[in-house]
Amino acid sequence: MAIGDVVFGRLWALHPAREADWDALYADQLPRVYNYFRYRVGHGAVAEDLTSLTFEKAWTARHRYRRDLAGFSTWVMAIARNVAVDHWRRRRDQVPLEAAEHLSGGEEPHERLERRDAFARLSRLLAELPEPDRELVSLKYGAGLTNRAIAGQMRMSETNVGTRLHRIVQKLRAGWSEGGAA
Amino acid sequence: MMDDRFLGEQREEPSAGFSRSLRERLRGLEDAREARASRLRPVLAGAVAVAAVAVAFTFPAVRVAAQNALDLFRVRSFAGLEIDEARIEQLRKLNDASDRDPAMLVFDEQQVLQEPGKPVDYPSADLAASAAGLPGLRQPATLPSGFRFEKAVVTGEGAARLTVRTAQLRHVLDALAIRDVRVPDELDGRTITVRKPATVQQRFTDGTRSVHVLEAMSPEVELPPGADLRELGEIGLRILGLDAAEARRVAGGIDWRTTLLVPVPTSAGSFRQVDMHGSKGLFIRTVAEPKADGTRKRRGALVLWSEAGRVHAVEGDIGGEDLLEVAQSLR
Repeated sequence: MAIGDVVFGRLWALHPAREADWDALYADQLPRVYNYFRYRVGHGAVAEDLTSLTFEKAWTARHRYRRDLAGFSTWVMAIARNVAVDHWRRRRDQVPLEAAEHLSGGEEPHERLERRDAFARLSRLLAELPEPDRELVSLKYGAGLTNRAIAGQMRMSETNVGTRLHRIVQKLRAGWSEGGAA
Repeated sequence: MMDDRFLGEQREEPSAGFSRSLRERLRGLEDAREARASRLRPVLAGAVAVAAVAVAFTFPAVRVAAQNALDLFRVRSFAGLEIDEARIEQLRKLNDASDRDPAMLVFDEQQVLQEPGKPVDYPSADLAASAAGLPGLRQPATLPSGFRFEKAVVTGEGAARLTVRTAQLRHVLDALAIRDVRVPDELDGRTITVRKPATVQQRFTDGTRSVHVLEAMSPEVELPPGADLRELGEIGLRILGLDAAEARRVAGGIDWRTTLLVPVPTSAGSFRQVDMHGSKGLFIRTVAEPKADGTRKRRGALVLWSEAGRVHAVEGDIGGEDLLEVAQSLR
């Protein structure tokens, strides 16, 4: 290995997300984090607020981000998960049904309205899941993480993640077919 | 149909308005951080980061290079090293306490062997090159719009001899609470000799902003015979804030006879490796700094690299990509 590679490799490893990278990382990770919260808490302002909070925390702590320990996505998602935990801790006495609250009627194009209806219905089904299951679904389908990445985040085996997700989807399918949470 | 596909398809892009407003808020945090960092930034940090060009080219800065790790050498490559604000502050306080030049924390005395003399202005780069003994001085083929050549400044050769005092080095380590480092006794009283060749600095300006293009033969430092550079480098890295394992690993990966380490405070800027005419260069983007009149100096950038036995640097308060374009255009 070239000397420069060793030196620069180490420096890249320790250097926080540089400004030049930040724009790209931000653009890349924003949809991931935002959708994680959408699936976690439902559509609406809450998901945006929590996304904002996550990126603000990431930005102010960026000097602590170490590339040699985690990919940026993993790091940001770990922050997002902590933000979600704090959120639910504050709202323990409330049922997470923001999705329903944010349903708008009205003048939207039919397709979009249909889509929002579908997500609102899905959110209500998700709200009935145990917390760990909803977290799994949010990481998988909201954040779009692989089973391996989820396993790393949740300290589970990859096999276990796959098995549990399979069961959760079956459960959601059953609820959907029965018209649950409709 | 409730399946993987359906679940994945419920994702949606954040709205453009939300995305934009959050980005702007983050920008605001960035500016606030920069302003805070600028207020805190000590002279040492400024000297190291913003004027990192000087590390290679000016006399005081060559001393900084020597301070880093008693490296020496001829510069063939540059490497940035991120150092923590807290460590900079510690070093600054140490220096304030000793009332010494920051670079002299571990040296006992400095004997000037050759004064570089005052810089001399020349009306053309060719004249300056001739005066400095740098035939074939490179000049930029590309400049940002509105920029024009203003002058070329030559600083003469200089040389100094520094004496290492292990007691001072131990004092610094002790003050930094680094207690697991062995300072070689045999180092005490040994000297290193720093030789700085003549330098040409071409200045270009559009009236408000400026770009400096510097070129020189590599500075040289004569080391004490038999010095274990890796060991000394490791000590230097510990002083700069790396933990024992990291310092050992990095010290083992550096050719201390050819690599000039440029410490960059975390708040002062960011850096990355760039390809410069086939050589590995160090690109540093610097943040805005407060000036004496209360205004803030523009953000800037600089790039350092070594090529064909010469050291090059381009520095300016223009955009980083523009600066790299100027550097790449040197012919």
